[in-house]
Amino acid sequence: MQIDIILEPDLTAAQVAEIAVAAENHGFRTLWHSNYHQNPDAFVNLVPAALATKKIKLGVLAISPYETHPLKIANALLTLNEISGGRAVAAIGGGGSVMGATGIKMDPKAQRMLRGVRECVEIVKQVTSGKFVQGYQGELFKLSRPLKNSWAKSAKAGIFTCSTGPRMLEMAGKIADGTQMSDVTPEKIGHHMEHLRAGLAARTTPAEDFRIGNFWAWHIKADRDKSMYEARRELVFRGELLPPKYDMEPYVTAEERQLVIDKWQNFAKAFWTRSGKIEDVPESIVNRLIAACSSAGDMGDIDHQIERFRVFEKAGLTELSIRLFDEPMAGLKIVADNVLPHFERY
Amino acid sequence: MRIHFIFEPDSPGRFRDLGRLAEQLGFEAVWAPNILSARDPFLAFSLLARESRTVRMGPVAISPFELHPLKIANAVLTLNELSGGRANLVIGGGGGTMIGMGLKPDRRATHPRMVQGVRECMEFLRSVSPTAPFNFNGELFQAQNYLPDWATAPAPRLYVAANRPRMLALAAELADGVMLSDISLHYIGDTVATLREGLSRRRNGLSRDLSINNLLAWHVQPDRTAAYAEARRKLWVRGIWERARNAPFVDAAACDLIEKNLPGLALAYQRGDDPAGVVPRQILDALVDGLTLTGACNDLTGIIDEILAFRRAGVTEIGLRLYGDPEAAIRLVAEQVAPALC
Repeated sequence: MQIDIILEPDLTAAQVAEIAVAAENHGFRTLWHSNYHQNPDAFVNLVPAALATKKIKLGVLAISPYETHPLKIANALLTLNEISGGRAVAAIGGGGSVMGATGIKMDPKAQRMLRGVRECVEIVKQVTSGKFVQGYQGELFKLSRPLKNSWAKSAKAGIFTCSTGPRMLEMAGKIADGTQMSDVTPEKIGHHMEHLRAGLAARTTPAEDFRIGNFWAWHIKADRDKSMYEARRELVFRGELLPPKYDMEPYVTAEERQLVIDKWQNFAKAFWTRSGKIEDVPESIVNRLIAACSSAGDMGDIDHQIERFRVFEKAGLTELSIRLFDEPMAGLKIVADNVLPHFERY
Repeated sequence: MRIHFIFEPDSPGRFRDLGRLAEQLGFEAVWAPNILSARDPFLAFSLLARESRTVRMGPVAISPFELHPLKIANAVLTLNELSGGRANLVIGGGGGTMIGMGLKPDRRATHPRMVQGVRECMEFLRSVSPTAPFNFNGELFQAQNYLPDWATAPAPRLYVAANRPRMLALAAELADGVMLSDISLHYIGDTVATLREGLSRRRNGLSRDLSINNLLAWHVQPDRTAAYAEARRKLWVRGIWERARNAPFVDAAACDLIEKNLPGLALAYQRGDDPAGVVPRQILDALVDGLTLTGACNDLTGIIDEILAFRRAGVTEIGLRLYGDPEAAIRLVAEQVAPALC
């Protein structure tokens, strides 16, 4: 298993480039630029990183066809791929903050999200192939003119999905180059891998090097209080807490789970006020959720996290995608010094 | 009068080289077309943005129907940060890229809410501030709590692509500039008059100096025959599906013939063929004379006179759409055209 880094979306292009150089030197596989609604365009912001590095892959995570037409995603990905000499990756998902910010209500069933992501992956694969594309008559997205991006000369860009649910994982296995799960815990990774493997088994063309990643929130710092503050602040976005499933079991009891659902706005408030204070929820519940869904604490907690990451590795993950938050360069160094030596350098 | 250059799609490295040449020779701005099977037009300038100092740059034209105004904002602001505040952007109603996405059937079609869409996009982009979050609740586009606090460079210059009265009025009301497309001398007077009339509704806080840019195809080569052949191959995108564009330069029978053969003319363009096999060459060459700047390098008098006539009509910028050999074109314009405009 190799290690990726996922950055906050609010860094300047120069900061991203600086971190990319350091990440490449340490031996991380991919540097992912988050795609949020009011931050720099991820593709454009990665250009200085592409110019400053030679080996590390550069990805955009996640981009949805409901916010940007697949053709535009394809052209941006392919352009970045050419600039980087064949190192660009895009992870295509169904939702994200851009949709919410632009008034698109998330309704996977009404939006036919599974189909939308599948059509997007198929279009992006065709357009980025550099081969002649006759067109694409999807039910949701179309290419109504033939085209050929004959200027594409580099190695193929990576086209991943963002898949965590069963059907999205199966679809990823069938058609994508890889997938990024989100916040899947070590206890649950086996279940998710079953669905992914079912998709891979149904694939019509074998995957050459199918990549399996998992977004994982990393808050460990030298200062434990800082770490826990950051973990509490960001907890509302961990997959276990997200609607409509609000999974959280077995990490909390049914009663505790209901309390978290009832007080969910307080978790959100801890984020948007940047206070990290989750009101009216016992600390023991908060701490259990943090412990289940992320890596938090001080340097003394890292060995335990390595054991947890081994579970991911044994389950078949090819990369663990470490999401950094505050002070990303410092976080990168902690991961490089303490986690990376236990896994495969890229 | 300022000269801008609009390049054929090419690599970011090539755009950097061409943009730097334009900068060295004193030109103000370069533009990238937004084409179906081409590099992303924002990324196309990412290298030039970092490796130049004065030249402005940006895509022409992006439609809010192909990319949500919020995504347009993020892209142009990122390019603007990379370039230290030198990004330009043309917002338009949508052309070939929209056709390619299946969002409209052909070039003659327009989105039913085209003007409203461009208006909302411009109003959204005009509202962007790095210090004050805002909500935008348009009929077509919405955005909540948008605050790009990282976008601290001087704001990008926003143009509207316009040829017709409602869009021209919108440009005069909301834009820093208007980019006309292939407006001939026959129509430029009325077009500028419409723009000036629209200035009476200009939004408070905007400069009264609306830039009026007319995109014109530049087909000037050492060999006049080759120049005309290139001009004919690209004539389709000069808008010849609109009878009114052609009427000042050819008679009614020729206009009829062109209309009858539009599919063949479009196909010739797509294939890169000379359409002289579809419509007689003398008709096409008359349109080339009327709608483009075409000729031999050693005889630019007529072309310079035409550009000066546009200036007298009120055009403040000419956007030369370059094909063939763009380096040679930039140097030729620097040596022979720009001095005549001083």
